[in-house]
Amino acid sequence: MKPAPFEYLAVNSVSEAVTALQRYGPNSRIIAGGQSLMQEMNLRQTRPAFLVDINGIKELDYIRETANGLAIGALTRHRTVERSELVQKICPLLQEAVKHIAHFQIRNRGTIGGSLSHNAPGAEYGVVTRLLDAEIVAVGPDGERIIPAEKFFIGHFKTDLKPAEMVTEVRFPALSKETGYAFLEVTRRHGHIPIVSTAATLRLNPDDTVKEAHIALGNVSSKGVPYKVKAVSRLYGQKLTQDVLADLAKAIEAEVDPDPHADSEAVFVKQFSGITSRRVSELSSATYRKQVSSALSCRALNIAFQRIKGGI
Amino acid sequence: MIMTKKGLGASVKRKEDPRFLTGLGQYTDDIEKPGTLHLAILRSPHAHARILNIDTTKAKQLDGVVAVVTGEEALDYYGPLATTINISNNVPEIYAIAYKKVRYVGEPVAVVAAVDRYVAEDAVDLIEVEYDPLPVVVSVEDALEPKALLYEEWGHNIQLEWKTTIGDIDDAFAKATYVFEETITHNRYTGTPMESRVCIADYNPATKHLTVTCSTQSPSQVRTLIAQTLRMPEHNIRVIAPDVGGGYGTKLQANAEIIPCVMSRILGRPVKWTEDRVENLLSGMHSRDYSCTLKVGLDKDYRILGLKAKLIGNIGVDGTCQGPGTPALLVAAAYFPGPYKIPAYEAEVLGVVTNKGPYGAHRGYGKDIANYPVERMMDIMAQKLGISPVEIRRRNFIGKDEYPYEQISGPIYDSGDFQRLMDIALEKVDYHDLKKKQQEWRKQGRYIGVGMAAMLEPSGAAVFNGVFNGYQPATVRMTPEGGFQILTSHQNIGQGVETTLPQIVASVMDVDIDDIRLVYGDTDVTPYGLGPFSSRGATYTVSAVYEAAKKLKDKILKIAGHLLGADPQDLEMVNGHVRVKGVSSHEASISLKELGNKVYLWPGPYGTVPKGVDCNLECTYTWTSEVVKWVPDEHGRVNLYTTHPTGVFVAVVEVDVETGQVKINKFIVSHDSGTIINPMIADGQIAGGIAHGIGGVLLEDLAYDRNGFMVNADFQSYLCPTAMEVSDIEIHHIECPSPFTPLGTKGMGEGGAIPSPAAVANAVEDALEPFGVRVKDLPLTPERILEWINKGEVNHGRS
Repeated sequence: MKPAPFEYLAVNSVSEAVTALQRYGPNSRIIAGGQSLMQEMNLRQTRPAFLVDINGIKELDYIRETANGLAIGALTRHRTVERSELVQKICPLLQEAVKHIAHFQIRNRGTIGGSLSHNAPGAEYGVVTRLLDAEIVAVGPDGERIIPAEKFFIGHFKTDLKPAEMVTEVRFPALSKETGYAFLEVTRRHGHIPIVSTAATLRLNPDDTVKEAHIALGNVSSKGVPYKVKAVSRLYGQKLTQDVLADLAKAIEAEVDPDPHADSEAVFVKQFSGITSRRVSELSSATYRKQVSSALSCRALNIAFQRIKGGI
Repeated sequence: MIMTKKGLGASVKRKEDPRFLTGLGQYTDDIEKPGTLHLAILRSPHAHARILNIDTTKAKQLDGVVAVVTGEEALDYYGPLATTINISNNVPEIYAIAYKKVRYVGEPVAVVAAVDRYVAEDAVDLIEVEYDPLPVVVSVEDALEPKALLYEEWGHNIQLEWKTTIGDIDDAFAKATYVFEETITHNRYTGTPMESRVCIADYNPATKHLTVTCSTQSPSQVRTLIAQTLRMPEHNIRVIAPDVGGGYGTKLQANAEIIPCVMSRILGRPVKWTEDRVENLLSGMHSRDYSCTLKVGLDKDYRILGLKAKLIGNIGVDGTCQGPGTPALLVAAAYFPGPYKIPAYEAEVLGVVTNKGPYGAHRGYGKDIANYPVERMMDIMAQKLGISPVEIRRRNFIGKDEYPYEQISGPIYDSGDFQRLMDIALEKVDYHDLKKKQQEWRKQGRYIGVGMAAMLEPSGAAVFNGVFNGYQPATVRMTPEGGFQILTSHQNIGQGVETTLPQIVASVMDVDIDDIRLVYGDTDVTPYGLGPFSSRGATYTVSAVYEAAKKLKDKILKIAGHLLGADPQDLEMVNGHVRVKGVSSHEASISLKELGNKVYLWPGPYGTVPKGVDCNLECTYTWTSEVVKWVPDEHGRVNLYTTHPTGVFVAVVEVDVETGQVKINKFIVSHDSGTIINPMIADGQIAGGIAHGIGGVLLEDLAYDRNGFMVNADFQSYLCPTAMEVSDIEIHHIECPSPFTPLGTKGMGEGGAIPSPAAVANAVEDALEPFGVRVKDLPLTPERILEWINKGEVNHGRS
């Protein structure tokens, strides 16, 4: 369980990083927290020839309030987000989601930029960025570009990032005080990688009918990207009665389209000794993912509702 | 019973813990001899294939590589793996490094020795192997068809086939009012010790001595197996086992350990192999993976008239040389009757070889196989009869006055009281109240279930034919300075023997346990003996230490009598002194230090040691059991286990019926392992065993696909329980001392793992009773649970 040989370069600025990525080409990888990359390298599931260590780019470790919400530097550790009063104030859903990422030891190292760039199935940040239509700022040889979450994720372990590009910042909109929210997962073990993850936001009209609701799901899309539920729009103008939720549950089951084949093709790789191995923790049937998607979605809306009503 | 505050029965804090808790333990991988080469092993990516060609040219050219050895090249230095155990098994001829053929994914194919592990792994990448894939045998059906033969010379894939019928089984079923039949299965899983296997072999070409330092449970046994496999004189081999980070049965053989030994013998240098987790999951010892069909006939009062068990085990590549797993299936056949009275019995066992990893021991060793199907069956029958699972068990328990009880299948149970254990368990869990509340919770959409399993834990096996026999020597030594050493082959694998064995000597000698040290883990130092397997510590080793200590005490009293001018009969040992009974005057007393000094130093033995007394302060005793019967009778019955802890385990679980997730709220345990040496350590053993059981029933599964690839060979996808998955555990003890051991103690390291899967499965079924769920395959994944809820197979609720 030792990595294949690689060259290592520590950089101190984004431009140095981009230059290095450009010079070393597609065989280079950025290492930040290393919580996914290191284990894949040690298993020789992946064998980058060059590692560009960005831990020295101190200016990418920040959480700032912006006109519309939050800007979080790519090198910000999960634990920093989890403990940030600013995040608590402006986008508490993000904090709720981060608590679900593995164990605190891992959260002490893992970074938001790393998690998004890795795009593991069901990853918490991916689901929240998709839900809130967050923006991902990437810098490459041609300068900076802003990628909407919807366009950022391409497939399991794939993003829109070009070989010499790196994530520098993630921009989340603020959640209004009146917005209810929830983040839920089904895992097989405490802190483990989710089989399905769910984030939801909810706003109500004064008569308790739904003004606005959004649900995003992780690990239920055949494309391997965080998925934003369409059926939720049917709630607008309605009260969240049991019947309405049951109806939504059915619609979500019909709508989501998990494809276990796409899963297994994406997640089985060769490792040391040429032995076939798995990159994700859980394989699950489409049927199960559909059922859980609807169950978690309804539950998340209920929690969001209770939050608005001060029940949580 | 002898009682001192640090002796028998005291929850003494573990003497070994300070070094473990402060990082000052020393494990094999912490040791690095100068000039050590590091090994990496090329393993088979195929489940079943012929090896056509291995080209190691490029690997050998890599800088830092010293040697690359294939299975064929190793044949000049060793023979087939020695047999660890053979009870009516077909024993294959197989080698530590695959020769001609690979039979499971992960089987060693070639070995690299290099200056460090990084280079060694780089070189593995450069070895080119040409395989000719063969049809793969994954399931029992594949094996029986047979889709292919693992060992062509056998002509079949059957490693074990055994049957016995005792009593008039046909008549029993003819007379039965109720007959039930169920097939119950269990997943494949393993012990996952925190420290994987590690081995340093150091062959000195000048002395021709081989020193092997490895993470093993059984240094003596490993020494013999290495000698036999490498065909070396055993007296020139020394096996050292330093701190061992857990064993759970998985470190009781020498298969992988042979590889560093042969590499060092070839190279004449120390070599080290540290198994990584992937290697451990692929090629370490697997267990369970069986299907069991039970047929039970009951009379009108729900008393069992007859029990038929048909057990089919999927062994994997082998369970005799690679590991000692195969006879676990026979242990199951001996113990299906469990805590119950069975007038007629039939057992049929079939163990097939497949292209899965090796089969070894893992906390339970067949006693778990005997327990899970039967304890599931008791609940299923109770459901079908509409009676309480408590009642059906109570009507069939062996009564407390019937011990020693000769079970129909051969074992003799030493002592116990299942009715009382059940009383305690029910009272402590508040069973009747819980069942009432259950109805209320259901109305609120909460599905809470309570499940139980009775536990019988045969401990201290004396297995004939192999390295798991029924004897254990111990030496107790007093030093010239008056302290004590206990020397035994009983390895510390985390079970607390550095504390419990001194507690025994402390009781006998009335000295502080800090004045006693356990010496173990070096075959050049301890008497040849066996390691901890089959929970034999409190059965065999404790008894050996006790008897050796008594012998030494007799000798000390004789010498003290001579020195004090008193009759040894009138002397006693008190607080590190020998004195005339009840007399506290200085003249009538001698300290142990003074006595030791006199014997060995000033003046020395002449005049100190009386005539006829051997002039040293150490005694060895080899304990054997008086109740073992190893010659099979006409029904094939034997009695190999001397002691039998008992218990009733109750699990309370909550199931999320929308996601299928199971949460275990608590375990209530009522437990009896006879005389308890250290209650805190006993509780730790039970809790650890329950954690293993929870792993097996909820999470752990060595999953193979149809091509024989293990799909979860790492700790990201093979899920062990963490502290968060292990519930609160409340343990209550009663003590029915064993009449078969001198102190009434019973080995008890596996009892937690044995009944906990059935208790959880029964609790889940109880929680989901309104949905008519029948628990089938394990582990209980959320997906399976939801599928069963949707299916609602059992017709007694929602219709």
